[in-house]
Amino acid sequence: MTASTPQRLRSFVTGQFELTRAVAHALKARPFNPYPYLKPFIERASGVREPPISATPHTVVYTRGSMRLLRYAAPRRRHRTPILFVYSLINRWYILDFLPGRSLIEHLTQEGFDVYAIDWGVPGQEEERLTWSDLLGGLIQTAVRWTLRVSKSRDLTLYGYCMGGTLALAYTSLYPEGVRNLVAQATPVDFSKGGVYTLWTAANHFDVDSLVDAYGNVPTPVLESGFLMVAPVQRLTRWLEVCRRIDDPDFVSTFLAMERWGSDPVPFPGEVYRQYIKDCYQQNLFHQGRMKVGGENVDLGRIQASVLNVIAEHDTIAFPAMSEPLVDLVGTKDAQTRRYPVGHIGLSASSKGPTHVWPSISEWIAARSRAMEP
Amino acid sequence: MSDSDRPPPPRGLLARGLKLLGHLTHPETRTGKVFTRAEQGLTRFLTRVSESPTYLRASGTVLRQGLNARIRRNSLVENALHTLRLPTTSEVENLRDQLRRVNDQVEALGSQLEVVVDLLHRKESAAEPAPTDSPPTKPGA
Repeated sequence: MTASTPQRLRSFVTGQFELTRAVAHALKARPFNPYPYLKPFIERASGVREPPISATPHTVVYTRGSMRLLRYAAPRRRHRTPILFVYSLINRWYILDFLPGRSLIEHLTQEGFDVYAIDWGVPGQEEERLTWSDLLGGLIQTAVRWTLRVSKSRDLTLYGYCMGGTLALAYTSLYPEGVRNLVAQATPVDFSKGGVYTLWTAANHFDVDSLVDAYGNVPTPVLESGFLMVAPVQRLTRWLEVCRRIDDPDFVSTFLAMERWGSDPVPFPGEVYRQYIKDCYQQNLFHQGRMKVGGENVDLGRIQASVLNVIAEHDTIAFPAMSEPLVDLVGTKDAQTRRYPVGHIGLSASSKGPTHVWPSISEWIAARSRAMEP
Repeated sequence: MSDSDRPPPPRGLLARGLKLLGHLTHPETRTGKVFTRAEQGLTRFLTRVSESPTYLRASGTVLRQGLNARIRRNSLVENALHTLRLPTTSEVENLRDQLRRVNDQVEALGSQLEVVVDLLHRKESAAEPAPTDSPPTKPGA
């Protein structure tokens, strides 16, 4: 039944009002990312609403400051060894629990793994003075203990994504107890191969001390402007693809969810950022095994856990050349690299994830995990 | 008329406009080819600019000066507010942050209690003796 003229008129007026309000709200916040400005138009034209994120059921098992430890229980647990995800400090946790059917976490729970993830939360003033030592020896170590306690396991698989992979590697080097396997997904290791990021953060024109002293935590517009400058034109023109496929609700829904994640960074804890830029990007000490955390060298040669190095071949954030040296740096003999023809986010959110990427990663972890006792 | 015979719902003006924009910029159309060439040219230009030493030096200097000005301004404002015995911006922010944390803690505490209750319940169920078919014997019988 078609709508009557007054109904259509009412719908038109209401729609225009909502659209204007959404755009006005975006203009008031003035973010660098085009998402808040363009999303209302796409939603209005397609009739598709922003999809729900992080849909896999979970509970909070531990909290400390702004950090939370989330648990995603398996419907039928088959592996005693749990998996603990460590994310990048600037990203929200839900990229690996993206959409129903497009969620690595959902996939792993269905494979029978007891899955945990650290949500760093939104850092506030208390996190301004947080150091690498607090992060590794405080937050991650506590998360590891809680994971082992709740899952009733002696050891776990540590799964780091992007900068979270760098953190997971540093943690395992300093605190190897309890880490049975380590997966490093799109993880920067050799920071001299970081392309424009290495160039832009060079010590002679990027004064990280002033930035941290001025702001405390590094604000999101500063971080966003960096990502925007990598591909400013493509950041806008990729929206043209969604215009072409405005009649395809699945495409629109996935596109909006991905753009939402990309436009949802959080501030970077100041002192952690200072050391990260100086020791990793400016001096490449992490790669050389000379980065100091709590007075100790982060030496990847000390890592004896099994290591899987996951590389996205089209990654423009953690370039493949940054991750490639990992298997030669770790001490274990059970280290391998697996490459997939996707981009940085594609590892976690593309249609190739559930068919190509995740089964391969899941099989590697399962082969190295202890089974549940009968 | 069955559902399948019905014409597709009329698309709004906005959807048609966006679709047209997408079509005009599609690399296979004539206008799209021009657009793609312009896009590639602009990308090459911006890449050259953003990697040039002159741009990096200039933007680095501007950024440093801006940040140092901000550090000085923050310090002056906070000192002035302290002198007047008024709460500073950072103190208000701190208070807001603490409220948010309390909220997070309450939410997490609720979830942790659920886990504890669940564990206790499981322990109790395991401790209970399995039911038997024979009736319980009377004491002293």
